Amino acid sequence: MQVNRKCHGIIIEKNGILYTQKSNHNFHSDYALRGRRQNRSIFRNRVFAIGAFMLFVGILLIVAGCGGSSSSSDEGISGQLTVVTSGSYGAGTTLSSKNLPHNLRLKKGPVIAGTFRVAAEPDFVADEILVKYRSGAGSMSAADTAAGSGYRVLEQSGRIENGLLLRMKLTDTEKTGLSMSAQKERTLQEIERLKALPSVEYAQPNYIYKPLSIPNDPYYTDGSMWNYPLILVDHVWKEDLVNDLSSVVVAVIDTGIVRSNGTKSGSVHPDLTGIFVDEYDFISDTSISRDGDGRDADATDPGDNGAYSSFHGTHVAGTIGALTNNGIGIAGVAGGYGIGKGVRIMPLRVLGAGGGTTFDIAAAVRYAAGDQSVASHLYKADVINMSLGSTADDPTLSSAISYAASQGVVMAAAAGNDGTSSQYYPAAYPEVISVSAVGIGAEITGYSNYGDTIEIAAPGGSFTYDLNFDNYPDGVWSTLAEYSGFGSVYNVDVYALSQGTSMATPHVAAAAALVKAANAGLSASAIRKTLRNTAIDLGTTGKDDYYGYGLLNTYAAVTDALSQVQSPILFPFPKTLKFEGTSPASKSAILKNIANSNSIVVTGITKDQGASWVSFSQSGTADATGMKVTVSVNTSGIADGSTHTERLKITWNDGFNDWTDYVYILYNSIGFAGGAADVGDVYVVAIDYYSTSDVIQYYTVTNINQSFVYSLTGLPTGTYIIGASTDRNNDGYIFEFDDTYGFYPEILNVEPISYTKGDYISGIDFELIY
Amino acid sequence: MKNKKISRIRTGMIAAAAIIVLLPITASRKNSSPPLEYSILEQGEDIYFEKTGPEILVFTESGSFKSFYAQIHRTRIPRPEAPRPNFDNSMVVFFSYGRQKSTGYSIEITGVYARSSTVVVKTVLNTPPEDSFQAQKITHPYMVILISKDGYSSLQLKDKTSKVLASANVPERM
Repeated sequence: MQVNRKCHGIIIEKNGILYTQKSNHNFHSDYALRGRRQNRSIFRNRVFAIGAFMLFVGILLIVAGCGGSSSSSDEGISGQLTVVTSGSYGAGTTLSSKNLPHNLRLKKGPVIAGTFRVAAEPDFVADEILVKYRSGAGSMSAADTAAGSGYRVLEQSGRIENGLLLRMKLTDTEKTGLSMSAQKERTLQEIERLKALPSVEYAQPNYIYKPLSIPNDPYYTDGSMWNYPLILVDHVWKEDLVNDLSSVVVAVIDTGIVRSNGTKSGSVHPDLTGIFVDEYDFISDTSISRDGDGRDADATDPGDNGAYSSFHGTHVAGTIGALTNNGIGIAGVAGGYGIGKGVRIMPLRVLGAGGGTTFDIAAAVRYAAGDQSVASHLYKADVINMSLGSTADDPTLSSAISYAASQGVVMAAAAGNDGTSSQYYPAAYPEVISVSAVGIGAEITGYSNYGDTIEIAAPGGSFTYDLNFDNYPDGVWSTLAEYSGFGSVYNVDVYALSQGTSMATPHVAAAAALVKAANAGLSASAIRKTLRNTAIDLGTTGKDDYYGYGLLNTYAAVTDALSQVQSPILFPFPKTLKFEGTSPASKSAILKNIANSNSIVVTGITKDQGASWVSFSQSGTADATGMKVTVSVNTSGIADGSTHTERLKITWNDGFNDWTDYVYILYNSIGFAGGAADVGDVYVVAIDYYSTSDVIQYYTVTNINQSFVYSLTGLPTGTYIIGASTDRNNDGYIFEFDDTYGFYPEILNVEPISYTKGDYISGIDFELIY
Repeated sequence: MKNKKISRIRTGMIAAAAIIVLLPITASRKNSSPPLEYSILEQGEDIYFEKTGPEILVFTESGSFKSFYAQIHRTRIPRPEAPRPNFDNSMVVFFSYGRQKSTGYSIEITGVYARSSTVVVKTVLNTPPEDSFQAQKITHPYMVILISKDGYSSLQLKDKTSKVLASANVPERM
């Protein structure tokens, strides 16, 4: 918060004394005074209302005086300060507390066995060859050559530059029993054979040229939707692999869909027009439904919590099926390519006031899976998205989930946002794909739950940083709505960033829909297996508790479903490099081709923001082994304790198309890796609790390791709040938002200390929260 | 050790003395908390806010409020238009219970009253029923209210047990 910065409460002066400006305080970024006010209120409240508690505090102080850190001083106040990382404080990514993706194992993409051209070959007609014979080669002899190898001539172009160009096709006999991929392999082998003939000038596949299907939705084209390149769906689009998903149905079991007038006759979000089928409101209790009735075929979302309504289902639906290439707003992962080409969404409303109940959610699951006894409807869902959860494991929902699995429905659910190993249901049921959340740099977010039920990771977003420099926090953009404040009128043309495993889940559900559209013959278990096997293995090698089988890779999943060879894909391991401390060691990212063993042409690596504190070098080639990019941070001139960001822009070419990827760089000049780094200057202050003209001592500590002992001496008799803070931006104000700070005994539970001149109180230990 | 012992004794004595002196004051102040009028300008759960814990902020002029309002709504397009209260005699108070792990949370004001020169905003955070199913989206329940300035110098956000969650000073109008 930067409002009225010059009104902040504590000004540091370098003569050893701190003065407060009471008459000119601002409302925030003023932790010292806020803490003191808060402290006073706690103090008064407890003394006034629970007098005995104060005696207890006194006893505590006595006890505290018996232990804690020792000091060489025989008067004053001393204690031990410990710097701790954000941990549970961080709303978003806490890289340092998670396993960074390193030492990654590549999974094999679909490879044609026995061929030496394999994966880099662009798509071509499986059983055709174009061959050009040199001048002088007769058409009959050419045809004979082809026929003799199992090919027949479909047509010849006549003379081209004195040569003869033939389009030849594998004979029916040769094709018998061969799969599409085997035919392609056979074709490539034949091309190599033809090339070796003296009469052949060149031979090649009959490549398939497609429109470059990059959607024109502005949130995607301007780079704000970082989540789509991360799961490589842009490659699916550009190669036009799946552009019609209209036969696939994804049920979104959620809050329903917002409509402009709050009824089924109203208009929906313009990016969601015409995509809904078989909607249903399963909320049977009218106190929960907030729409005045029970179950009916109207999933309109009137809000789940009054003014605090989330309109969550509208956001989730957008990620899956927002109209794509319609020139407005966002694209959907399974939005197809153009109006009417996207996945069909079945909105099933189960979340209302106070959330949702087992009874209603179980009914929705059964309905989605085609149980007509719940309510008659036309469609059966291929995929169910459940961006919801509860810690309750109950047999009713479990039974419904088992039923849906038996009906061949793929199910994905959110792992939960506690940032712990707590299990949430339905995600934790074995029939359901449990989805954890990553941020823009493919790192697991601080809020994402983990554990052995996690199956796959997908973008859930994190508001902690803006690493794509678009001036927005790196959440997930999607469709939303808001209450207008008048009657039952809603503004349905809203886009919003959100973060959560709720946001990660629809990426996976949409990927399942893409796979289903790519190969309608795949069973639910085969689709699930495809998503698992094609995930990019991050974190600990193999399945782990954070990423499960890895980061969702829609491109590999779809090409696998199509039995099609992947184009080269460059992916950095890790995708985020985090530096801490005053002299951080260099770190490296390995740029690998995760599709095959071929080399990728890296056409450029540049600093996207031109940060002078970043330098890098590169070596090797971007093949399956990888190009090594080593990044160093020059810390001179960087403010103590501040956080800096940059990204390396990597441009590369897959043989046909140019692509861009990024390696994100974070530098926190606070750090304690191996005890070598420090938080810089820390000002330990004793704030006079009662005085209206505070005189506060400070104790400057330099080059501090994670834990250190302070000592405040020469204090006059008084009652003090003990706190400590950095001054990261070196502006003379401490306890600001970007500072590392703390109060005794806890930051949110400050207690005063009564001190008599000449006494010595030790053990006033507390933590500084970074 | 001698010093420590003295310290223990003195600290205990001071604490006990504080109880004796301050208890009578409590009784008289408890009866002097007239409710203050307020109006809710906005409430919701969907904002961008750096703090993850409880917070209370005070605005006494439109410039800082507008920029703050734009900041907390920076995750939304189009950004909503900021309310335009009259700051001549009023101040805008923003408060939040911080980051929550799911939907289903809301804030309810149970009382706004003055205690000396401090405005106390007493609230309840309504939480979703235990074991209910909730959307797994990070939320940030908040409320923006309008209160008369009336010479107050500070504000406190309290929960239903009267624990002070956060406090702030009323800034001078710049």
